[in-house]
Amino acid sequence: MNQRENFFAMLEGRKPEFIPNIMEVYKICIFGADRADQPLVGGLDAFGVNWVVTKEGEMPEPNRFMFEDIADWKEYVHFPDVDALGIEEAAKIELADVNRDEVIVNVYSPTGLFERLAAFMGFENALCSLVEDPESCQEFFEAFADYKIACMNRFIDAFQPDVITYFDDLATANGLFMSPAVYRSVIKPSHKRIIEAVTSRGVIFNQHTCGKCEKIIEDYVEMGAKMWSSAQVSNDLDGILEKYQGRLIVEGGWDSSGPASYNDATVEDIIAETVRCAKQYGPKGNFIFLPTLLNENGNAIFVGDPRLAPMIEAWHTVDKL
Amino acid sequence: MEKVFAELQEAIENGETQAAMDKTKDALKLGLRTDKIIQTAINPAFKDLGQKMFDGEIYVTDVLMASRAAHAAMYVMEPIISRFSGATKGIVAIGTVAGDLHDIGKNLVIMMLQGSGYTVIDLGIDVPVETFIDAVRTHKPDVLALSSLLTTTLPELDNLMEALVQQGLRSQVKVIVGGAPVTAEYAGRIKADAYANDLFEATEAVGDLVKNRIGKYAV
Repeated sequence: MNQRENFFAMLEGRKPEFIPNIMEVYKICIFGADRADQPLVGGLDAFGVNWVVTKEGEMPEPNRFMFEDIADWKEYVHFPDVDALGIEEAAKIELADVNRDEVIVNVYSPTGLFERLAAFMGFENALCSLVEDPESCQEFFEAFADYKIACMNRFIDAFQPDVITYFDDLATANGLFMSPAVYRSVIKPSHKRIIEAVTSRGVIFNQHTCGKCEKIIEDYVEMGAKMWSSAQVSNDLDGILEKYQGRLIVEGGWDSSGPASYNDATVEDIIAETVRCAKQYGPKGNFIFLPTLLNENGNAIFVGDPRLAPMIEAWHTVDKL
Repeated sequence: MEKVFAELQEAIENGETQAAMDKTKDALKLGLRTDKIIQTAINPAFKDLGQKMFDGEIYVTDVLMASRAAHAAMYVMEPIISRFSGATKGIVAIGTVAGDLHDIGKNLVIMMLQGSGYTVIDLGIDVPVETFIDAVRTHKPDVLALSSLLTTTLPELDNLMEALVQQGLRSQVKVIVGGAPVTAEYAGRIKADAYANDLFEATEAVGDLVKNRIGKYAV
């Protein structure tokens, strides 16, 4: 099986031949997100939020809020014209050399419902708003979901992806930002619409939520997500892989707080963590390896690192199933 | 008297800002001292919340609302506290290390510390080593609290510890470190005094450090 065939075997609950890793299974597309969600090189996004580049990605400029009271959101939030974003042009550039018979085309859609609210009004204000004024939050999420769905449809038309990965971080390493009840009543209805918009067009929905979010994994599955990333070790990954075998692909596994994630991690540390991930999570047949290898310049996968080659080499000694 | 403490504690735990202010005013009208109010109502509220957070019963939103309520209680008491020098539980200088723009964890810790009666000097985000050193010299904090949310900025913690030693300041200030990629093992490696995994641990650990106690978060 090639990467694509192996991936679909996994997705359909058949036995894959090997455990995929994200560096080889995907053609990851990010240029659409650059236009619709957050600029890759920083600066103002289509909503007017200023993004600053850090070594581990972009983030909204700290302490610069568009509004602080969620009841005011309509005064400040002006939705961009999706026709003018240039998504089709982005797709042409990014798909120029892709071989669709070999790999999985995975389009990234960052800045989900909660992240966008936090980008507008700051994290603390956003969280308090969920509790203090849930009605205004729901109204905002509904409107933002409309925008997101319009973008997703454009992504699907232009990129014809196999997978859309939707990013919304809702948890710390210790637990969810908000209670499951608050998530379910305030965020989930709009989240569900976004998932249904993607899956109704035959595209696989990959939900990205960092941190310990295991209490709402069932919600993700119930709404139609077939994948979850970046599954971190603060969750019961063994239990989740077991419980959702054949229903959910778990992408992650790397101990992002362990020694293998330190800048000065040795090749031996990295290989040990690579082998642990393969042996511990791979045999269930629904795991994709997502390493978080970092150096002084940022994420090794994007900025390069001499330790990547020995890591992949080690991976190929243990990835057969 | 017990009733007003219990009601204030409950108001804080429930994140009820107005009720927390009202109950604090009631306590002051009864002639209760501010330190007694902090010790008997606010600190137990945070202790309870910390346990509930640890047990997974509450979430960041609940802590945030409770911190705001505690802040409101402190706001009511502030004019009285400021009349008595030395009424603060201690001085904490806090910042996110150079190269790191994250402020969420740091701000939550600040809210908790202020709500618990500490004087906090917020050095902000992306703070260079020199600024931390200047702050130690200028403000003479009991505790220097360092946050790093990026693995790539972890070495900044190491750099600062070295700078404190080189500048002859290490013995003058206790250092606590935290942030998503920071571990107790890493804190020990750089010879910090304490490591905290969350804001409750940070508050408890600062309490130990201020009193020169070797607490459970010492490394």
